[in-house]
Amino acid sequence: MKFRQIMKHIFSLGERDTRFSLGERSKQYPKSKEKENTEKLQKNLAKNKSNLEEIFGLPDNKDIVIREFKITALNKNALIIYIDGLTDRNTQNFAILQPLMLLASEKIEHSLELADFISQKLIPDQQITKTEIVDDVVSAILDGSTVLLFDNSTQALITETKGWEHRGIEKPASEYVVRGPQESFNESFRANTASVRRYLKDPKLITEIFSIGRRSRTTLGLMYLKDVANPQLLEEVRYRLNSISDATDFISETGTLEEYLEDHPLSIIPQLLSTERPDRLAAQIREGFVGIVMANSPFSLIIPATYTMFIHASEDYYLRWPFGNFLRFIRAASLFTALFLPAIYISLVNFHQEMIPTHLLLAMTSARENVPFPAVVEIILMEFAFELIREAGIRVPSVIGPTIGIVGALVLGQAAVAASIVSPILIIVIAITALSSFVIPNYNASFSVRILRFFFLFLAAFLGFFGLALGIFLLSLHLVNLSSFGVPFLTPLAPSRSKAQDQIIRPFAFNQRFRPTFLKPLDLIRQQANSRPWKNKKSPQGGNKDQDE
Amino acid sequence: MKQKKNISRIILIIIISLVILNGCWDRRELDNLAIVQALGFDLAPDQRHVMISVMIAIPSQISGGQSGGGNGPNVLVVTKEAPSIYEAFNVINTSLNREITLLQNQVIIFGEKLAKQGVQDWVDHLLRYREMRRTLLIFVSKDPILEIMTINPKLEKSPAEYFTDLARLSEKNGMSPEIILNQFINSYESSVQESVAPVIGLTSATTAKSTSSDSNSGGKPEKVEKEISTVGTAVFKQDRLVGYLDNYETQTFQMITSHFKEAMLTTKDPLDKNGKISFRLSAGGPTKIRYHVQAGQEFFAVTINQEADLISIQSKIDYTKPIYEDRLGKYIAAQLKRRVEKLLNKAQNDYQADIFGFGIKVRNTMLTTTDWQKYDWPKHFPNAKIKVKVNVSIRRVGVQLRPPDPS
Amino acid sequence: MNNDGKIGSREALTLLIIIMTGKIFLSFPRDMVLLGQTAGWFLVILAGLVSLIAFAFLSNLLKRFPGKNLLQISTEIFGMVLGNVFNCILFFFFLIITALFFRQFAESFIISILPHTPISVISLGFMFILVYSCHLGIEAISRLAQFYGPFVLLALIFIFGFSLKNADFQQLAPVFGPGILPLLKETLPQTSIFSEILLLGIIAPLIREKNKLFKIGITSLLISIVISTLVTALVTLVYNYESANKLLFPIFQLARLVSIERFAQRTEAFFVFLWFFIAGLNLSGLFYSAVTRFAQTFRIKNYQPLIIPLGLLVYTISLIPSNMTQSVDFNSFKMNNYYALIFLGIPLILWLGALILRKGIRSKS
Repeated sequence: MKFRQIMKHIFSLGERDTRFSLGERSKQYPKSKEKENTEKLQKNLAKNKSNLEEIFGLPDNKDIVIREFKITALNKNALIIYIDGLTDRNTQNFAILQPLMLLASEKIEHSLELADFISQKLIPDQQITKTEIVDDVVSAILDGSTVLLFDNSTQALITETKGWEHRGIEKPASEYVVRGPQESFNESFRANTASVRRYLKDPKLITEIFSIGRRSRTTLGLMYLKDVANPQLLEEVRYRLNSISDATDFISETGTLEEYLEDHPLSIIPQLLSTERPDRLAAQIREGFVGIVMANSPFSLIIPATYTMFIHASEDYYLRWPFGNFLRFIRAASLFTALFLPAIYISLVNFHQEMIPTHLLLAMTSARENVPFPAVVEIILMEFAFELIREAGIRVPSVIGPTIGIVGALVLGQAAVAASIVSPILIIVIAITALSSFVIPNYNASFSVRILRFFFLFLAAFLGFFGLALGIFLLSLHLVNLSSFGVPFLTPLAPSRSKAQDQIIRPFAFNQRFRPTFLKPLDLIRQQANSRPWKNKKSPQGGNKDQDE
Repeated sequence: MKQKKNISRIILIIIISLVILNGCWDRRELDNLAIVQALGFDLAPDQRHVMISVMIAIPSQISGGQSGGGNGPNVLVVTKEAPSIYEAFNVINTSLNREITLLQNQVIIFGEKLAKQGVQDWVDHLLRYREMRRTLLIFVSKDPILEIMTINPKLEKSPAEYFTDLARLSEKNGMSPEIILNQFINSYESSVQESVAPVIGLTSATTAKSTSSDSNSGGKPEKVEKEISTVGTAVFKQDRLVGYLDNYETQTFQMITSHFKEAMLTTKDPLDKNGKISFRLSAGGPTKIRYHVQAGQEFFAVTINQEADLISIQSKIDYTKPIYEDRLGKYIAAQLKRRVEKLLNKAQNDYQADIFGFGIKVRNTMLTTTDWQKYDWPKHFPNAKIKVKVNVSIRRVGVQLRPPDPS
Repeated sequence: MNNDGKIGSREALTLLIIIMTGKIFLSFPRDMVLLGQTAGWFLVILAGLVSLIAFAFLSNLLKRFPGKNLLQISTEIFGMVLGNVFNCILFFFFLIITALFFRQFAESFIISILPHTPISVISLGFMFILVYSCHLGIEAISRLAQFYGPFVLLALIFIFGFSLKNADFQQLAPVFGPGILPLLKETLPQTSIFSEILLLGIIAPLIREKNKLFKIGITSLLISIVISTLVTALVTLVYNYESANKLLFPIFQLARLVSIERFAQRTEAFFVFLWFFIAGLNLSGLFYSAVTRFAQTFRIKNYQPLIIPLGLLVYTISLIPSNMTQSVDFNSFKMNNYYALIFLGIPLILWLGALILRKGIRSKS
């Protein structure tokens, strides 16, 4: 029984997602369920009030405030109900209470329905929604809006009064660039969507709002370009989001959401890209990807994700072509080093000593004569120590941060060598590996690299280069099979597409004519063939090929 | 149930870690290895066993580094007698505490006695074992191998590098060939060419003692030491050593086989009997060998092109003038031709071994391998007629035109 | 069938090339030099020509029955029982090839880089890969082949380039080797070199572009012929023929000769990677064919439960030759007659059957 479970665990990594694949199979989506709870408001204000009091647990719950008043102009009782702290006091006072209570002092005849009349003539708030459903009222209150209820009407008015303490727009914490915008997302949903909007001032940029989680009801925005994004992809994303929104309790961060949405959550490789930068999200949306922005989370998700996106940084695009590609080469080399260097070191030292030049080998041997541990133990110790420094460094108070760095380096490096616990060349190997692993721009991907490095290290310690080759083969088998929302992970490398330009070397910005074809976007062409008319004085629609520098 | 699952997972991880950390079949730690730098074998005195000498590098002495180099020898030389090479390693390991590994080996030295008796018995040893490789340098040693290995070369801490550099330097002076095991085996197995190998031996050298703080250093005697030097080429016929070529014959040999790169030579001045002219001879192109057979008699025509740069002129004659240059060129060419013909004569008559590879030209004219095997080239080689033509052209004269004139 | 994806033409091409040229890392060049001496490369070309003819039959067959693989074709021509017999033959063919090459690859790794490791460990590692990749399906295998294609090519060019330094072009003479007649005599049995092109018949329905089957097959066959010829020629050039026919795994020896200046000598352990990837892909493709043949013969819809038992079978068969020379000789000189028979025989018989019994779609003109 246990054996079968282990086998299933191992082999379930490999099952391809036969449910969904972009553009190839048509899929029937079940109809989304209607809202279950359709309790409506009642005409009597007092009854509504007691209903709401019961729902919210008043009078114990001091967060919810109910303010009763009289609408002078219509001589009706009304009340507003809101959560203290989530609402903006000024808007409430001046946009809702003041006009209703003070400004219209005489009776006004009207022919419209009460709620319509009030919303159209009396409340100068910028967003008002009408509703009859109690559930909507409750959600609105929890969102930070103020709900206005009156006597003798089954309709309630939801006014937009959100305003609470939040962080301003600051520098990105994990995706820092030198050349490029220094803004990042923060925890406010509207600030996030607005940041994206500033980059893509396109009327077709759509934000669909979902609310995920029964208890958390986190606001989630699905952003895409309507005339570019693949409708099948959108259907699939909507389907998945809707299906988890009631199934789960509490989702507070896009990281958790990632786990719910991924095809292979057990895999070491992340399948959705998370980014903190609005310019990156906007660039991907423009390519035809779909973005998810969530309240309370400064990280947004990009769906689907392929392997190139994890090793590209936005800076490559903002720098000139030679410099951007130079950075890319360095990043590719350090990816390789971060994954394989400890494994290669162990294979060389323990199994294939003939590859090391003789002088170096003799130097290493004389250094290792004083060390009591075998090479494998040494390297595991040092790797562990390094991971320790790394994790500790995150939580260290910033005042003593630099000091800890120096102490850590000194202690672990110099003293360990002097005490003959490790050999000096190992310190170099570890240092290079560590530095290389910091070059990877995506936080998720850097974790993959860290874990895979240990995996390769163990295999290489077991069987030398053969073990390392085994590990690489297994990993590539897994990668080749991985798919993220129906797109194979190694596109455009594995199912090869002829229009795949942007992998390691990025082409000139003025040469990038097409969007990624694996997304099957509705509009493939991004820029006209002659994208620099000042240089090539021919017709804009091609005729003359783009000329390089 | 969950408890049991967790415990069994932990046990699994522990087992795997134990296997990995404990050691696997092929894992060898660096400080458990005795790194052999040179391997020598010679016949034991009782003529049946082989005497193996291994030169093992001592890491702490050679690398210096943090522990500091000592004054002791850089290598440990061990000699043992055994029926075969690898059994000798086992015997050595009964007293040496590190496992002998040939992985970093760079040099193989055959003793003269063994080579004279025939390397046939030992060649398979050099091919079959996994740790041997075909890129090893081959030497034949005239003097006992143990003495050669124990000499500390002065400029180099690691003796194996001394050998490899020495072999590589043969490019600069052409006085010994650089033969790796692959070449040796190829010519050993085929009948187009006989194998050769460079020879090393001990020669005496006088070195002055380094200046000491004493003022009367004149009284200290000079030391006479032995040093290793390459003394030429060993000629094999099939698998036996049949003779030697000295340094200058080796140069000529290299010229014929197109391996010659450059050398500094001296010749008598053709116009002034008392002076000598030094020049740097370099190959002007590969040697052309043409072959045709006529009435059962083979004819070879060998054309050697060389270029010379003048280095020093002892007489006052201005050799930069064209007629003089021409004459000098012809004079040098005549001398080289004499040397080549002497060498060819020696190979054909004294050794009857085709070390130059003329056989390949003959094989090129055959159609099938059975024809070639029936032909038996080694029997025909001594009867072949070889015509030699040497062209030498003076290219450059250095940075001075006329020689200086004391007036 | 479950897990059947669609393969693109470039992926199928690379997969076929890798499966057919996987042998060059084993004793294949040495066998050629043994039989053809200095004209070993010529023997490869002759064998290639004959296999082109056999391939012509195969491709015509596939054209007559578009969208069907060999099992369905043979049942259509000859009926259920006889058609299944052909399928069984193919199953045994692939199974034995997989097992014997499996053994040879494992032995080659032990000999070259891991001398003390018992063969069971290496076999286990390989077995794990075979099982996993077969589980993922031919789509993953072919994508992986295409992914690794350029690297493998690069490494081969690297070996070629560095070996040319030691090559002597006069080693190719005498030109006709042992003579024309002995060469021709050996051609027919040696067409087994390219017998794995039958894989095309098996994956034919899975390839996306149906009309490119002929192009894929012929390109892969031609490229494999070229690569095999070049490798054999290179081995003859660097080692003269008397030495070359005694070398086991000549490419490994070639890799050993590579030395760049002083610091990059003895780098043959790096070629382990190249070797491993080719071996893994080679065996995965062959194993997948064997498993699917079995499944299709008995009309089993989902072949995945069959993987582990058949894997065990391969493992046990691979241990049958009692030592290494036997495994090499057995495969190269005894079994290859049967391989050649199957390779030349099956398409021919099926084609004749289709012609005579007038089955299948005949294209106009």
